[in-house]
Amino acid sequence: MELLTLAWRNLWRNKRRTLITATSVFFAIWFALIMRAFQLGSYELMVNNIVHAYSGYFQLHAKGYWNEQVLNNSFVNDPTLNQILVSLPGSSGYTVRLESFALASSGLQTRGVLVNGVHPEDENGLTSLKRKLVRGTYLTTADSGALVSERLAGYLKIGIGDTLVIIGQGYHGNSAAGVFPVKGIVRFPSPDLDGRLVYLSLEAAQNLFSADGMVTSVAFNVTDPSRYLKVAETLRRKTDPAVYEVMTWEEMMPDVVQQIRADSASGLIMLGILYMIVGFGIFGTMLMMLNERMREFGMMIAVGMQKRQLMWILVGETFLLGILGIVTGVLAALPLIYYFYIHPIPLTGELAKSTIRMGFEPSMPTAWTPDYFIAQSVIVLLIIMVVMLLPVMRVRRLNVINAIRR
Amino acid sequence: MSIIAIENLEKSYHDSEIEVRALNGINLNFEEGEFTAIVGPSGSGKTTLLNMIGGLDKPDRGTILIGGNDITRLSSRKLIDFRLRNIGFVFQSYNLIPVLTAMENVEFIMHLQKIPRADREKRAMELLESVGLGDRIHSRPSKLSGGQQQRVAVARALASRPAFILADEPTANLDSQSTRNLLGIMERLNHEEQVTFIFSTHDQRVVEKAHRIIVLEDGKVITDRENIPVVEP
Repeated sequence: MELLTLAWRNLWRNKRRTLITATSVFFAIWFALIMRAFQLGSYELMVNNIVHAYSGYFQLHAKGYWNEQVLNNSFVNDPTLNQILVSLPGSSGYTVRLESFALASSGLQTRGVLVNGVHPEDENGLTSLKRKLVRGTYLTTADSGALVSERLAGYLKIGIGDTLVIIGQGYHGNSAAGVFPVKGIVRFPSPDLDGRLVYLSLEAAQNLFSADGMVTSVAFNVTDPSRYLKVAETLRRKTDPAVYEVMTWEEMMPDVVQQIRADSASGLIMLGILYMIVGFGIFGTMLMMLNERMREFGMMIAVGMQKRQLMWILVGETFLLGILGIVTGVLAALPLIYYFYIHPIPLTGELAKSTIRMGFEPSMPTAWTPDYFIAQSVIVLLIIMVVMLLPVMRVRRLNVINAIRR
Repeated sequence: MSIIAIENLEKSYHDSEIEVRALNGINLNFEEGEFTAIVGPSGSGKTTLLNMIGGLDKPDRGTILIGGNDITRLSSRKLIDFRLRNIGFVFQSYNLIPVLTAMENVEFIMHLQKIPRADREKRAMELLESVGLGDRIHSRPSKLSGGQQQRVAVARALASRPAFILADEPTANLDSQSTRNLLGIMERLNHEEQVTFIFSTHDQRVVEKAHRIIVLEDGKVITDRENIPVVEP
């Protein structure tokens, strides 16, 4: 008769009560996992949308560029640097850009735009730009034409084959002016991006801005998104910090990070309330169980069981009760979470429209990573461990004679 | 040599402002193989005395020497270990562990003593057979009658091969047939295996079987005499 066996049998001496308590743990962990899965899945989708819309997981700039985004803060992608970029471990590709603000004009319409000089294929590798093409054809490497975002094209009232005039300031104060035939129209879900983007080939942009061989940023994609910080760190180590800055998407977009954190915190508060209710439920069960069995505990100590051994039995009972709820809760949540990870819930109606307007895919996927499964299980276990203190304290203070007399 | 030597034992309880002297200068010796009944009216100190001898409670004054050890000076932990190895208990309400079978209840004590499984199973079987429950070893307490449960409790008390067994009103909850059976078993164990029994009781049938009768009143020993047990026809 091992002590753990005794704990297990004690657990089932009142089947209904044990089942009710285990079920409360089951539902707590099940709800917590499902809720957290959708919450984290939404964040993942949001981050994925942001990263693959434009920024990449991290970017390399000339030092100070992010704070002052001007062409004078550009750099030369020389062979030494290029070798570092090509051979960066963990990177699945990158796109080199020359970006600058300018005025775009067609007929009587003029608008401030962001001109992006890119290697068309590299850009497509990171942001799937080709898929965003709604009319016309995609750019080639030394293309002299332009891709214009759909809203911007509407404002400027231009279409395929029309001429786009770009005027601005070039590298080191040179004036920049160019005429580009519209080769294609691209559509971005985000109204902000869709209203101001113009894509040129890198060569055409460098000519426009008199910035031969210069680039303003290199945006990176990674093979394993969960390790992008390590990849960014590797790049940071391999480049001269006095000349270059490496910034992750989180550093470039702190407002998005704040938004995710605030939303996540509200979700965690909900979970906290749920866990508190479950914690009190288990506490109540333990209290009833202890009161019912005090005489038995007294007898056990009287005949020679050390209090420490008795405590272990009670800790074992509470632990088994918790594990029962946790394991069944996790097992029940797993298939559901996996199903919605593969088949995200599509958003419809106004919700879908507003999601698209914000630049995100209109769907609700779940996250499929072990982190939150472990985290939620550990939290419930910690609650159970706190509840375990009750029997431990009661046994510590137990008076054998009083207990036997009960 | 006495297996238990009690000297000047005193114990008081405080009930609100009133001091109740449960034991008032008890001096007693118990020899190996005794079959002793402690009797007296309610509140006379019987249970308190048994609790003291069993190391479940500590006296205000006096000593209790068991096998030469003064148990009043032992720490709580050592006292529990001492009880495990030297004292068997039989309680009025049986106090078996409800989730264990009769066999496992008897084994429980030996498990605490870290006796190997094969040895404890063999001894538990022998003990249950000796109390007439060889055919109920796999029954849980809820499936046994009160008398049967008390016989399991006796077997459990014997499991650790204690120096003596303390039984607090062991027949209080039993019918007359069960009482007769239990007394028969206790007498046989005492006679054949020299097991020392010290029990408190109100039950005249039990008193009649005792070899020694100690009468307590107001925490004092009023009478301590030998008794010629009544032999059943």
